Amino acid sequence: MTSVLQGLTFGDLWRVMAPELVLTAAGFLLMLLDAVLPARVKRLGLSSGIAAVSLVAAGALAAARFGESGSLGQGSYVLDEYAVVFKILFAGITLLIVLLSADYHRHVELPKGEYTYLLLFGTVGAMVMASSLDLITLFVGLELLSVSSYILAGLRRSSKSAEGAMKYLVIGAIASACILFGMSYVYGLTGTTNLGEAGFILAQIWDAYRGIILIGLVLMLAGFSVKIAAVPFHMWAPDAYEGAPTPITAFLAAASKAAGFAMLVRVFLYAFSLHFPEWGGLWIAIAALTMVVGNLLAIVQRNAKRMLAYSSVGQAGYLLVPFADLTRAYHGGNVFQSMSAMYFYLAAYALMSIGAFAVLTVVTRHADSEDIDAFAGLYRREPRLAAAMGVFLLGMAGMPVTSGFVGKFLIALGAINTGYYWLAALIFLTSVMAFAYYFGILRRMFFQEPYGGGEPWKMSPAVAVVVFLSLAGTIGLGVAPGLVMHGLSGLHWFGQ
Amino acid sequence: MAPVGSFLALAAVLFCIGLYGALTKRNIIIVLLSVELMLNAANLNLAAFARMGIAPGIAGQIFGLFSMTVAAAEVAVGLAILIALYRNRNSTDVRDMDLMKW
Repeated sequence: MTSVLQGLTFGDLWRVMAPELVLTAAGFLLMLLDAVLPARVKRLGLSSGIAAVSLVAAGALAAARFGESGSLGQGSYVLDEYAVVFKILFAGITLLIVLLSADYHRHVELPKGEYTYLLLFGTVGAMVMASSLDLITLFVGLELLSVSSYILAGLRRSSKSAEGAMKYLVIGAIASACILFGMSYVYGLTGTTNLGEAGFILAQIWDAYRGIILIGLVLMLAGFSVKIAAVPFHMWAPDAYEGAPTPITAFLAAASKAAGFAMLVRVFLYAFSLHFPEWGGLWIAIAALTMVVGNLLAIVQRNAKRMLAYSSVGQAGYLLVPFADLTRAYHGGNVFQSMSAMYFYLAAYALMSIGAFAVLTVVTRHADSEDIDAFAGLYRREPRLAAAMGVFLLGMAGMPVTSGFVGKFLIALGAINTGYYWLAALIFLTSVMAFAYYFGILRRMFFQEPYGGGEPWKMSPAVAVVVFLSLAGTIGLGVAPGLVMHGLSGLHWFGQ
Repeated sequence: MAPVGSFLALAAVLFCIGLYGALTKRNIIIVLLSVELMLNAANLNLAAFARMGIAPGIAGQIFGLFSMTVAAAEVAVGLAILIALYRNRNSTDVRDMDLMKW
């Protein structure tokens, strides 16, 4: 172990993990300031400012390493394009969440200091999950994100918040235990915690130890399914989402899910991909089930936050489809196309869901209700807000001219290319189902009279910025997807 | 020394007991205890493999140390949330956590 660390300079560390270092430092600084500054200074929004600056810096530092490759500790922590694009995504998501929270804090009583630095630490965890190639660091990154998320979900002083957080924690901890147990088998059979080496050895000993490898694999599959809220392991998601402060709900829906996918792809691609036919069917079944059940259960929801939660469950199903072709395509060399489709949809979905939750914060605050009827007549009260919400919802359903359509189209195309015609058909069918419940909100916003006089609702500048950026991204990626896809298709992803 | 298989069997049994407890027990404290049992079953695996696995090495023990730390953090947060919940409900029974369903 010492030989690994000897000769490791700060320069090496900085080159590979600068974004994580910056965010960790900012997190500790905020912790310190929270302890020493008097309350009247804290009220000025200093913590949001520091967090926002550190996130911009982290995103820029990640982007500056585009195309470079490197590693720490004999390949246990790597810098490759896969890590870079995910770090940029995480920094962007959390930046939007911090902006949204700056407004949210003015209206809802929350411990602001903890809230902000836990967001930063959670983002560091997500980045470690995308960048690490070692079982130990992967697990620690996963837990850093998970434990931060449990606390964040329970920060609101309400009965629902604590209940949602408790359910999230218990199910999340069971999932972590399953992942750890599966990892222990991978380590035991290969004698190494490095994913690349482990995958190489596993491929050789597969036939001799098939049973025990598959037990470990299935345990990890179940654990990761919980983390990305895939059916049948999704039951925690609606409750945790409903109880959490709304910006945190957006964080869970966007960043936590993206991080889960980042780690999932790494682990399964590196460790198990050579024997894809033996386990690929499980992921395909989960993807199909998630699409259908998530969208079906969303139809019956009356609470807008819960409806968006179930819609986010359904989106995990679409995101699993390129993963299913990815592992099959691994033999044919088509891996980059599936990776691009998955990343594109992750980014598109993150923007749309953050935008939708931003609109929801305005509506629930003014109406003092999370019921979908609170959206009634929103067009009369604030046409811009209603129009933006319309774009986000139609985008999530997959309407053309939005990024959601392009993303779903790319995913369906990938499924067709690898021969899963029925999965492509299912994507189309469940999108039609999704229109059913999104139209419920659209109808209320545009065609119903507002309750109680219909006085206009103001949105604050911070929310307006978040909504505008999400809207610009959603429409921009929908009208000119080539801008991003061109860049993505040129990537080497895993740096070989 | 006992063969590695017996340690693995013990770990698997502990894991299953933990999973059963976590899914069926009605007191949330027992549920948290059961989750700890699952995590410790994995630690037992790691330690056994590190000492007498196919390729013994120190990495498994290091992994175990990390996972113990993480488990401690997790249960600390769990108890903190439990206290918040207890203040609201005056109960540690999971059947009382039914504000949100479906």
